[in-house]
Amino acid sequence: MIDNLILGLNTVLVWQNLLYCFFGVFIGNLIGVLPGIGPLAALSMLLPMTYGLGPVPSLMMLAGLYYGTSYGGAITAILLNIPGTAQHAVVCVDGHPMAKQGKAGSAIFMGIFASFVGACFGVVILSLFSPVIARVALQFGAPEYFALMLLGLLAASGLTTGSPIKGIIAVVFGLVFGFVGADMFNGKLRLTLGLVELQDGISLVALALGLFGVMDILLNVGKLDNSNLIGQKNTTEEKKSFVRPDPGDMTKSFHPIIRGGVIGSFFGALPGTGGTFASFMSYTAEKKLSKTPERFGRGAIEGVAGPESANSSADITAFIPTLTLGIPGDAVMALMLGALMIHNIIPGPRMMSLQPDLFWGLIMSFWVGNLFLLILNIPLVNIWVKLLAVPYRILYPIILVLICVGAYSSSYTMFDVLVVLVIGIFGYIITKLGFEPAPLLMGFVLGPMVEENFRRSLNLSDGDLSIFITRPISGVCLAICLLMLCITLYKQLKTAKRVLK
Amino acid sequence: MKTSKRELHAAMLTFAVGVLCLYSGLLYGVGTLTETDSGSYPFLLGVVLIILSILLLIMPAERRNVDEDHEEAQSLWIRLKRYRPWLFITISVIGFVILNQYGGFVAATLFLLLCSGFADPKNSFITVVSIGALATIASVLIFYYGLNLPLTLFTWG
Repeated sequence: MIDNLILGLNTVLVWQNLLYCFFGVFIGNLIGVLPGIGPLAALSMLLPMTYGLGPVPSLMMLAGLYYGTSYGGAITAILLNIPGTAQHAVVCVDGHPMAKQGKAGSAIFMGIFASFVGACFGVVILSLFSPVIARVALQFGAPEYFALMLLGLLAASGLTTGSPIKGIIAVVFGLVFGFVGADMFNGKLRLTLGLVELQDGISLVALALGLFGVMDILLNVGKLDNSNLIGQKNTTEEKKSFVRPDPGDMTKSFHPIIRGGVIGSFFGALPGTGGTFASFMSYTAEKKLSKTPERFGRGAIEGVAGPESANSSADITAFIPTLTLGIPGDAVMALMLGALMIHNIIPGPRMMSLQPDLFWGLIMSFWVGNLFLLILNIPLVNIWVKLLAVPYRILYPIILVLICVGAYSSSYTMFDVLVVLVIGIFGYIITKLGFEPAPLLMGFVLGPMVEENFRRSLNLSDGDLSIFITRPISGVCLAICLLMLCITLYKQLKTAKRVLK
Repeated sequence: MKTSKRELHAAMLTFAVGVLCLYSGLLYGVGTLTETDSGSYPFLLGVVLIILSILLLIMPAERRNVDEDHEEAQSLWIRLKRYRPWLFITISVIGFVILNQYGGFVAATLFLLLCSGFADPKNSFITVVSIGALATIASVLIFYYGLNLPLTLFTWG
């Protein structure tokens, strides 16, 4: 283990890798601050830039960008009452009231510090458990992978905020997008509409840019404004001591940060849960454990520190299923998986033995990247606050240029720019109809693998469907899938009964 | 009590995609369980989508609300105004693709920025032109000179 960590450190501490890691966390931090751009849009825009780089700096940059957003997102949640990313929604509950009481600096400092401690928790858990899971995963065959992927997809669909059935439908839409192109078994073309450009399937970059770039713009134009920005209204004296914890806040936050780290590490590793779920769980736990729960919602520092620690540790442990099994737990991880595959790296149990420098380098880069973020954020908060004053109406045309050039640079054809537009409009329509795009991306990335493992299992068993239930791991996973489906239907039925009354 | 229009449209879209998958599955050949063909997976997804669309229709998660009735009562002009971002952004991206071919990257980027800038009614003419000019110069510097992307700055016809 120590040897592996040293190998990882040696990989990270190469100046080129450090530079890309720094660039990733800096851009991630910036994007987390800007409302209207999530980590998915940011990852999609930066993905084409990594084509010319090696896999190690590419992955470090993209991972840095991902957890960098986690730090920035809390700042908008506290100052603007707009969560930069979904996982910071719960930080608004106590962070914004703190800002209104003139304690924005303290809330931001604790958020940054809690994020760092939480991420450290996540790195320890990731280093300890990944080798164990990878060893077990070496025994898996096609039926086990099929069942696990199905479980991951169902779990992801269950996290949608609206109708649970719509979550499943969004996943299946993603699976449909995933089968466009040549059949991997016999090369027959499917749903290519006679277009040569679609023979290799829809590009992951185009789909992600359409769903999370163009769609976000279509949804937010004319709606986002910065009128309730608090940091801008502070007096000069308040600005001088902007990021400084109030006396007693450190003591109050100590236990919430530890508990948040543990909660986040656990839920981050589970497919379909991730940072949003972890931060809400941490908030609930802190409110339940508090002797003065009435303070929550009115500016309790524990309501900022716990969830921030939880979502940061979850961001790191979310890499466990992606790196060890090749099964992403959420849409961001699905995009990371896609990024790995673009660089011809097959994530899974063998990655650790075949590319130990990449695997352990990535893990150690989390530590270094989080340290960068801690050091960066303290002096940069004032700049981020100023940046928040830039209205969205000025930002979005520039974002649109980045999207179009990003799509073009992924294949050097304008066809992908049109695909981005079509998918963006499709994403806009389905969002208006109550579907969510994140499960769709999960379905798209896992789709070809689901089909491959399904058809391979049938070939192995001579068409005997019982192969999926007679093998223990696959049987257990499918039983859980069935249970989840029953719960989904029950929930939908309950809602429908209420609606039809 | 009426089912929400949103639920109805969602079910219709799901059903339509399901039928498309089912049809394409049959077209490419389903094969047998022992030897699955290219259409087996689309066929399976089609069946799943059709079942889900029916479930969505018989178990709606939301009812027809006051907002929907209010929306229907609004004048056509007010309803059309809501599609302004949609229209400007679509035209700007299509224009970017066409102008890149017939006018070059500079013209395409300038058009993209100007046209998309007007998607937000709060943007004034001066703001849009300023963003357009500055961001076009920045794009050329970053993408053409900085990242060396294979772009043609100017081309005619």
